[in-house]
Amino acid sequence: MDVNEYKDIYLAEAREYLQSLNDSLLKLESEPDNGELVQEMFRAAHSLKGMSATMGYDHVTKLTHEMENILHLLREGSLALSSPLADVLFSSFDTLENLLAHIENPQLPEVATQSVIDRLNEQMNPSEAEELEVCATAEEVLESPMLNQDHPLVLEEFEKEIIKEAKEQGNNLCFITVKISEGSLLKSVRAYMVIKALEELGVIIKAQPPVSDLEEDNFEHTFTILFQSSMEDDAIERCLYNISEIESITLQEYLASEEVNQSQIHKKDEAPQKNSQEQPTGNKAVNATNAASLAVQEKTVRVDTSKLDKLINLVGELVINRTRIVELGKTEASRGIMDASEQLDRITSELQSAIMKLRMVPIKQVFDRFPRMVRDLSKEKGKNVCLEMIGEDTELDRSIVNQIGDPLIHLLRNSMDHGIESTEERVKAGKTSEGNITLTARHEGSYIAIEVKDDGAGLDAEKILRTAVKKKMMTKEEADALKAEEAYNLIFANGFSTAKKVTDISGRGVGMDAVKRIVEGLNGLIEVYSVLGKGTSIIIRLPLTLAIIRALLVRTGDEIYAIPVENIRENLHVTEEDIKNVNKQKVISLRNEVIPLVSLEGCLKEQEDYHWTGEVPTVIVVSGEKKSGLMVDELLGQQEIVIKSLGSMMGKLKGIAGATVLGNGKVALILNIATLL
Amino acid sequence: MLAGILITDDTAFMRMTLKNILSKNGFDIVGEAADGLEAIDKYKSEKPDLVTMDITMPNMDGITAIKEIMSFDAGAKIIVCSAMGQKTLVIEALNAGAKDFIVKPFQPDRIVDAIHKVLSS
Repeated sequence: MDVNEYKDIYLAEAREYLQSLNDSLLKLESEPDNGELVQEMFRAAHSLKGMSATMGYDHVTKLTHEMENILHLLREGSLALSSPLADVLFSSFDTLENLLAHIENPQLPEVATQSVIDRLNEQMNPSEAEELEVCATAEEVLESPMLNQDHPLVLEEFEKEIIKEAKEQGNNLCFITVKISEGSLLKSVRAYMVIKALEELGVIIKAQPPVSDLEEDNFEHTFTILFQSSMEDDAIERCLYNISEIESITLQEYLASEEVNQSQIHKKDEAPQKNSQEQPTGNKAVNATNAASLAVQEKTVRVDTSKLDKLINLVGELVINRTRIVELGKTEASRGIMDASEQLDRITSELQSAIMKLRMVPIKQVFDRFPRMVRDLSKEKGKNVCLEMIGEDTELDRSIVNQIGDPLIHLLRNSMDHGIESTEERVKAGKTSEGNITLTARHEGSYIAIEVKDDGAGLDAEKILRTAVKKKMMTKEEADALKAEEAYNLIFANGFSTAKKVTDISGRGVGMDAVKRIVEGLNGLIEVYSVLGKGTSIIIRLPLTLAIIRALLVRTGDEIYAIPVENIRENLHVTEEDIKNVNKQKVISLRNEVIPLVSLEGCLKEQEDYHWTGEVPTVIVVSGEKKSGLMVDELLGQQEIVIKSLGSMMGKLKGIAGATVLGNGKVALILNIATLL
Repeated sequence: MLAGILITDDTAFMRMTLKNILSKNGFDIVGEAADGLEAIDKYKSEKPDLVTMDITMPNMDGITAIKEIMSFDAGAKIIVCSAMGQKTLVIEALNAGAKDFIVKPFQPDRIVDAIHKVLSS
């Protein structure tokens, strides 16, 4: 078997199992009596072991085998989940993760497994360990000697259906392990003969290795078939022994416990199913089930993300050209072009939204690792912290999901470290001894808001200001002039940390400014709300997608700028009479709200030199709490724009988020309202 | 009574090798054929218990011959002899009705085992 070909699938799936192990163990800690969870973990470890053995990853196989042993004892009830045991299991999961990372990238250092295996063994009562050893050998005797102690058959939903039906009809269900004589030439044809013979007797539900591998000679003399038939075992056996060059045939009853196998879909098995359908002969029943299975399996496809990125780029180009053609359609007199361009417009929009959806992934992918992290940290720090997660199914762009993990880890660690007080302090303050952190994701228009909220000590504005003065970030006078909310924002400044003690997780003052930088890099916003003594809430707002946005095009002077519609509250025309002066600042009063007025040109040049000419088109833009009226020369209308970066040579420009190519081929700069105001 | 075998192969050397192996192991060679057409004729005249059939032969190949023989004697017991790397052809022959196959170079015990199994089924 070409191992590399399956590596990606193996890794993706192994990580799913690892995640499930982590999740289940976390849950198990709070519900120690939940046998289902142990069962699930056992299954996951078992499947991992089978997969890894197939791939020849011995370290993983060995470690998962040890894990399986422990889980077996837990399942039997002869071992109880103690806190040290949970710790050892967790660290074995970590080792497993490192092993997987090493498999993915062999340049990473080798991972030692022995110490964690020893620790696992210590957890097992010696006498019980022995017992287990005995029963393991007994099992091996029972089973075919060639089989690696279990049936690495993973069943899919439709196969389980077949099994259920077979049982209801009282049919014989069994595993048939066939060993073809060593030195047999054309053993694939032998296997074919076995399969053909079996198909005349009943239905082959599944083969391991898959039928296609058997046909391609990708197997070592031995294969196992899950077989359903109305015939008795010995009749089947007799029939198979009529084929020459078969060294041994082992039949083993299929037990309900074999159903433990995961319902997760194994893409790897798709090809064999198709192949078996292509077999020239065969039982009609088999073909029928295969046809049904194809329909089931092809619901999801794993696609290389770089292919998706390429696609999204192409759609971006298409959107630009669409805009161009639609514009041509407007100016050309030809009716035909107009119609065609409208059609094109519609189809492109649909294509675009369909592809954008492809990129959306649930934020669960990021959230999943947090419960484990919070658990470890609360143990380490001796704080009792409960993490609640809401809205894990909220979807956002994959590229954002990939980047938001680290900032969130930092915020959570901050909450654990500085936010949540020690148990004594909490009790003294009349709070519950258990600290609470709530992680929420939700949609807000075309934004997604992620909130990290704790019921800890809250931010101390005075302390923050004192530190700022002490660190010479501002003068005493400047500090006094600041409101509490403004003081909170200082925590995002580089080199700022009020924590007395620097721990290994936070307090080095390099974190929050990095968090802010990442969020802003994603065109997002970050805000802090805090009540002293009650808790802190940090909200990150991110655009749903980075690639294509709706923007209002405006002209000032000869230049065209794009303002993301998310930032626009309304457009209006301002006349000189509307303008008032407050503290040398031009403002307008809009529905009893005072809004400062600046010209876009002045804003970009950082000097105000606007000359009034009658009515001035003005865009009211918002960013977080800030509002402003941007005066421009002309409003050109809304359209979809594809965001292109300015490139690394340009550095970071204040007020500019990127550039886009317009329908007429000209380049327009996209304004970043957050940094512009 | 000894089981009667009809050997089909276009090379005399292979026929001789097979004949030696089989007679030493207690089979009666009732005939030899050098191609498919001859095999059909001999099958009809000699009524062998079992036929060994080479695949690649002039005039008529083994697979066609198997189909022909099966068409008038559905109970015919035929074992295909193939060279290495003829997987698809072997499978085709099996689908045409051959009961088993043996791969050249011949290993005597394998051939004998295969013939015994086919004869006893």
